[in-house]
Amino acid sequence: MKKIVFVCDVNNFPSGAFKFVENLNETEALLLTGAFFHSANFDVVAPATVEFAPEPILAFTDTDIKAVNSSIEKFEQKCKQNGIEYRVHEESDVFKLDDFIKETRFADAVVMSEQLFFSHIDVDQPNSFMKDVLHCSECPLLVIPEDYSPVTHITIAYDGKKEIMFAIKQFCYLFPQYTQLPTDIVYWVDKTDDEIPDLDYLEEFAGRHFSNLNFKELFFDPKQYIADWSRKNKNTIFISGSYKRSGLSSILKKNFVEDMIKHPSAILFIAHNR
Amino acid sequence: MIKVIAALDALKLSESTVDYSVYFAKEFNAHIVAAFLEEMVYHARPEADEDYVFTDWSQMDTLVKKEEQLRAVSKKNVQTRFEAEGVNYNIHRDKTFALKSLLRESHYSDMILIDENEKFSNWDSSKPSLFMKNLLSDADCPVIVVPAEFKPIEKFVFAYDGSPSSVYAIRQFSYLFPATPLKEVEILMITDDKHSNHFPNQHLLKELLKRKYATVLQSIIKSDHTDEALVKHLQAENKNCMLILGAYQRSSFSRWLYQSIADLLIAEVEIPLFIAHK
Repeated sequence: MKKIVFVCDVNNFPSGAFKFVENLNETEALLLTGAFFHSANFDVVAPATVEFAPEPILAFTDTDIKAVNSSIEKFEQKCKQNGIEYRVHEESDVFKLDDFIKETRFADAVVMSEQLFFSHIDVDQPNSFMKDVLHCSECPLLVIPEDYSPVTHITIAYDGKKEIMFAIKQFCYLFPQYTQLPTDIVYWVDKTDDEIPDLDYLEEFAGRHFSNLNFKELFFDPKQYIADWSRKNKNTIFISGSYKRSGLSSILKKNFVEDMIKHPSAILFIAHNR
Repeated sequence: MIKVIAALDALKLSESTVDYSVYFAKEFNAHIVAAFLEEMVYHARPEADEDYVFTDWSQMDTLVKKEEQLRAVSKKNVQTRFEAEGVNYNIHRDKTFALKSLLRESHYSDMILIDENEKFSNWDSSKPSLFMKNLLSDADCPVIVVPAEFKPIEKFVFAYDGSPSSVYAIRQFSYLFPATPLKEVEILMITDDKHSNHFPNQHLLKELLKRKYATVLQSIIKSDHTDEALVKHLQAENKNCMLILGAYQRSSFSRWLYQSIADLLIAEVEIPLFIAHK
């Protein structure tokens, strides 16, 4: 039984992510925790004002709270309709990033929208709000496109690094029901004589967890053709490793994950061992 | 099916690691990889002489031949045992650098099983050995440190202190060892706060545990000397348990803080320890 954190902001209810949760709940009973982010955090805004005038902020906060309550109502209604056990984070009026981190510490996974998260403030995804969530989560995340359709395929972006192995392990533990699906372990080759690193070790591990496994070497530059690839692989969960703040290799991977989010089509599974 | 590395020294085969491998293979449907590790500068003692420290280089050829025989015997013993018990297994021989090979294995495995006395050195007399300390801090999968003598596990005890690392260990453990009706599960906190009757983030912890295990016993022990109290509690009441702890995490301060507890437990308590860190 899994505990999943459902991330939502004030104005944008992630319907694709909810459909994914509905499908998950059909195979295994879930506890869904609604994490509803407010647009403005009063604590952050107040010290920035030269002359403290709380009225406009209070009015904005009031509208914000009403919008959040309407999102929560929708969330509760949909959970009841689909027989999903749920809880709404209720500790304070403002949902802070610290609260989110604590929720993810005690959860198995996070689900969120690939396009909608705070898109009313910044439509260019991944925006700073989404980046914060991706960085700070203490459990794996699933970033789900709005036109979600059921998963029929798994793709693993393998690069021989320990980060991707960590992500593969977490995916197998969390979603064993998907390990029966056709699974491609993809290695993007720079030169024609490149070989898949540690292939024998990888085969030994993956063979224990996935039952329908293919290894593929791809020769195209993923950064250039990722949009095309993503469009053609709509029903796929794409497993990617690190999304950390530091290190050169993580910058490269980060760009890759960000490119995938910019061209939403496949579901992204991100796990990092911070 | 999970892939478990049984880390073995063929020059002094740990019967306990082999016993626990068979146990995990049967109880938790594990595939065992018997990894026979070798260290370039670690050789068998030519005689059964406890005071022997340095390798006698003049007898090197004889020694290497003897070692090969010993390795072949150990491998044969493990194969015979696994086949007799119907264990799914394969064998790796990791040459040259024991630690480096085992860390590489850890990227591609779900868990490592290792005897608490493994050293891969003739001169290291510390417990846990430097090899064990380095393994625990750098492994990329959870490590189960097993005692020298096999005891079937009747109870899982989670050492919880509210830290992200202790929650991480609980989560990783629950993925590898789902609930079985025959095993008791206990959550244990040792605190020096005499007024505390609650676990940190109690409602979130309960919510998580309820999803993983049907019944979880709760124990809070109050003591000024938390390390000693933990050792005493495990020695007295939990002789056949496995302790799950989030020690040896990579960030500097907390690593040193929890490392001392893990080291103490390895030295003082004869139970398997499941150690996972972020």
